Amino acid sequence: MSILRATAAVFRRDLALAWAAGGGAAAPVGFFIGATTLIPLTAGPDRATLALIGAPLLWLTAALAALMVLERLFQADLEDGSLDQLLLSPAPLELLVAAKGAALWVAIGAPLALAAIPMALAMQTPPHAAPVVALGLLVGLAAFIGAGLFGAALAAGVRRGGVLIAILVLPFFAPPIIFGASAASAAVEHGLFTPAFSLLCACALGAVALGPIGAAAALRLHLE
Amino acid sequence: MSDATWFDSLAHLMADKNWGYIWPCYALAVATFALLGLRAVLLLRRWEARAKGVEKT
Amino acid sequence: MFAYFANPERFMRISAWALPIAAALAVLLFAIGLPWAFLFAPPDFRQGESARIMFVHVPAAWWAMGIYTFMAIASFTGLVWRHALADVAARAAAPIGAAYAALCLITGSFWGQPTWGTWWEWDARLTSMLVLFLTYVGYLALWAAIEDETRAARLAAILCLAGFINIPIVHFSVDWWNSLHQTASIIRSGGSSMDKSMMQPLLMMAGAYLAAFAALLMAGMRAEVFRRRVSAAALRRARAS
Repeated sequence: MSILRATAAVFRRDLALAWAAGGGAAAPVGFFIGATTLIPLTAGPDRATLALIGAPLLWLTAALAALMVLERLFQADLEDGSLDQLLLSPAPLELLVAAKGAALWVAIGAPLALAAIPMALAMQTPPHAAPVVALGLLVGLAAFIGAGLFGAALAAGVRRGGVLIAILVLPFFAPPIIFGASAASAAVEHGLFTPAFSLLCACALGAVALGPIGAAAALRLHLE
Repeated sequence: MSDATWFDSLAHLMADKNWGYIWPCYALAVATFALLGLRAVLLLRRWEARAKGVEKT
Repeated sequence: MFAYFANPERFMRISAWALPIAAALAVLLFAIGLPWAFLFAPPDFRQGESARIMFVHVPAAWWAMGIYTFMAIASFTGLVWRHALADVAARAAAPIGAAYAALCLITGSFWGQPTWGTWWEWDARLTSMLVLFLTYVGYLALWAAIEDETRAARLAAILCLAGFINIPIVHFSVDWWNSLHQTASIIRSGGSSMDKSMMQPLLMMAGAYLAAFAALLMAGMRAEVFRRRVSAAALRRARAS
């Protein structure tokens, strides 16, 4: 019972922190909107072009927005000693790390996915496909955060670790981006349940399952 | 074999339309190994010398 | 056998004679293989002379993956058995593997232009090989960023193992996805489909790349062992004074 309570406590704490610190979800969502706005500025406002590449490019900007928040995951907690406290908890570190990731997904991932609906419409995605794209992004963000937990844990404590985290997680971001962008393209004709979406879900499940395990292993090394 | 000597083979190769794609690859391979080898030699010499110096003290 | 090689002293004694032999073997294999590949191997039936690029591209691809596998085994050994030299081996192998991966990508690009009409294509094989190169870069970046060496070794080992999933993806990518890149013609069930006149120089070049890796690896490991001796001695002196 106390394992559950400890995990829930970590989840609640991280959720509160994510919403409070640095404007909460406003910064990553704002970045997502801003970066997406750059797309028609570079690719041209031609509707046909945007309809073709707009929704897949949302995956790029969402991935970049996710990279932005990964640094926060362990940096502050490592510095002020809260991570050491986590080691003392009855719950396994893997579970607590997963709870931190879940909190990030709810606090940042959900608003990002919601913001993707108007952004998809702006990218000339037809209205019936926009929620499909957003749902795909929500799943993809779970994959990004799963992999991001691992990268952030490896680079915890490194000064200005954000760029290092980005380099480390790039190989693991590639499959969800590939499948997710493909699913976004297919959403217009084929709706939600495309093969690409299935593969995306597989990536997300794998990242969510394995990311916390790798992250916990790395964190233990930092806390020795 | 019509191209009996290596020189004929080389001339034939240089006349090929893809010559400009072929020779840079071989040059790059040779350069890569030369640089890797140089780096290895320099690193080894530096640290071996310093380690021998340390042993004497 | 692992325990036998775990002793740094023994490694230094063995590599003292093994390194020159590997280096000499590499030079010999290149001296024979390069002219053979460059001039004397027959041109390809369809691609003509540009297929000669295969002899520098394919061994680089093979060993970029092979070296990463070596690093993964070394990382695993270092993590599980605290094998003294395993971390040194992984660290020394990484720059070589990265160079091979870069060589593979660039020569592949030069081969792609006359063959497919494009310098680059985001298909599964090329993308996954690029991801392998980026994994090498990330591995080296992590080593550089962490100050404590033992911690850096362990963290990098975890990263290396996590990235290993890419290796089967690179190899099977041409089977799993439609790709510009040709499908497997050498390492596949049913045996190779390549003619002997091209297979022989290819295998010789592959041997040359391997011998070069062995020599470069031993040199890097020896340099690292010397470096650690120097820094250990400096630490002793600092403590004594």
